[in-house]
Amino acid sequence: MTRRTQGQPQPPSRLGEHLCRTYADDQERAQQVSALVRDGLARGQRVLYYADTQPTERVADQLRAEVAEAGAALERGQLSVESTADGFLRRLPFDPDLMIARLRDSCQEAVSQGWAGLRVIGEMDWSTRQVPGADRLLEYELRLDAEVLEDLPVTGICLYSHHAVTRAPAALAAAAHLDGADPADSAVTRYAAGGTQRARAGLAALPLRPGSGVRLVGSADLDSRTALAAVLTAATRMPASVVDVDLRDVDYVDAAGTAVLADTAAVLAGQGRRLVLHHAPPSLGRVAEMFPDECRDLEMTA
Amino acid sequence: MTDTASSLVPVGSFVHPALFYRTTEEYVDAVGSFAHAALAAGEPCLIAVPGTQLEALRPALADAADQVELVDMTVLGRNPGRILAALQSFADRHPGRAARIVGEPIWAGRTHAEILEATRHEALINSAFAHRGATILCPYDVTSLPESVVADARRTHPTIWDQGEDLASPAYTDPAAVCADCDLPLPEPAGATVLVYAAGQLAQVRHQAEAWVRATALTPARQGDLILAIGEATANSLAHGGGSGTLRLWTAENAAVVAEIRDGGHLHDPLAGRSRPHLASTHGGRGLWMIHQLCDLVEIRAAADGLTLRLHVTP
Repeated sequence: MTRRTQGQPQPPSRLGEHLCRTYADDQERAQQVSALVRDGLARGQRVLYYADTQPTERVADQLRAEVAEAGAALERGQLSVESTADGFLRRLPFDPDLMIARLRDSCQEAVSQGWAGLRVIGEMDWSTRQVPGADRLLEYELRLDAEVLEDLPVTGICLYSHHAVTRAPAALAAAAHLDGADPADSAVTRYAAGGTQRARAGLAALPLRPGSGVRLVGSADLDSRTALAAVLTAATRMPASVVDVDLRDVDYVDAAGTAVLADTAAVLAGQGRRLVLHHAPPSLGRVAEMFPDECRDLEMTA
Repeated sequence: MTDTASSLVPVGSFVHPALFYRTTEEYVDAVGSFAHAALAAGEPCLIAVPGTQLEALRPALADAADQVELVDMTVLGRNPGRILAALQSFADRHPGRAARIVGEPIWAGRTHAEILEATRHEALINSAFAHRGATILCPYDVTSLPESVVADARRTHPTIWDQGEDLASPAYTDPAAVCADCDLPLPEPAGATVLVYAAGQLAQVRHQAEAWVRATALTPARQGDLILAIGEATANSLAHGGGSGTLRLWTAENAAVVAEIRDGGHLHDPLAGRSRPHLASTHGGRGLWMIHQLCDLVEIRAAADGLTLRLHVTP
């Protein structure tokens, strides 16, 4: 399963990778976690598991039972299980800047200890609770690619329940992974093919490679207005002087969508930065033509 | 006529006469005098009339060509629903001054549907410019236009200039009443593709419409214009029209591609879409303004049970 449109150049490789897995129930999750942990241990990675809804002891017991290496790995510190509440949710609000810095530190520490890299497996259902800062989850998912995976051997694996991925903000966040789509989950797979399936509805955002920004997939209309605003808010928090928005997989942008893009460009311009739109669909060009004053600062390029 | 034109603008009041003319000579004399009076008074002047009439006027305006804005109304007013925004924009570009405009929205050859919408436009001029210092003179060729058009001109203009006289029009009627009279039942098409939509289905219905439009004689650019207009209209159904709507598509006898959007909306402001909105405006009107700009004709029917828009785009 790939989200890339056929014929497009493959993105440049990263040292790390960022995967999304979804599950229907506890049993399916347990099976996936066992396989993911087994794989990480076999690769010589330091493996850190964040449990959200179940006690850490239970997860550790399960892993001991299911993964032959797990017991020894827990003993020697290659594998550890923490709760989200004691881990990255201990200090709220959830803050992508701190998360990214922390992930970089942890990976560098693991590498200095001789591990091949850091594998972080996290249950993400906390994002559907009223956790302060959960609205910045999409930003975190989108920024990992350029700010962590490019130069560090981090394998980030986000576990979303099927319940979570049908809800904001997890739906957009789960769809923001370049790999690892679960065919069983419509919120993710609707964007997966990049072709006919995206005709259904909605808008998804993926990290942009190369460059710093986002690649949008879908349509920007009234049905996806909230998603577009969330994605652009996340994009403006990317630490880059130029934020690129690739629209090659967007078939339509309406007037209100254009207004949101123009507003985002103005916000960035106010910070001495730029928003650059690539491969804008004809509708966006036509709206910009009809509102030349409002779209004066909207940069569009091939 | 010169005397009448130069003395007719008390500050802050709106003057909206119909000019009934019979010959080109009479036309050139009246419109030429109007323009020269505007320039003599130092007021901005716009003449928006059909191209053939512009040609007839050129010799009379030769000395003022660079001071009068000349526009071909068959282009600007191809869709009568976008004329009013253009006239207001002209007035807005000259704040604090009383714009003097010649606008000829109805000419021989206009279809019945266009004449209805142009009549609606003539009525709404009175609402849009009320309490605004401006003069809009609307020429009517009474020898070639149907009597019903002349009768409606008497209803939409507070005064009539006829054979050198400036007379009040006893038939003048409140704009809302004229607009209601323009809401005549629309003829049913012989056959149409019917698509219904609700929240979450905008992209789907747009893609179906795109596939349908691709098989018409419209150029890709005009196809794009129609799809953009449909996109704004269907979004309006969700936001202001009760949350759902019906889109019907067909090709008319004159080869025009027609898209009809019907929903539960009410046109609370009859001037909605008839002035240029800001891109970021959210109070409605932006979509309708765009639709008027993008289409060759927009028929509007505001009924008690909902709103119908018929968008026409010709190849």
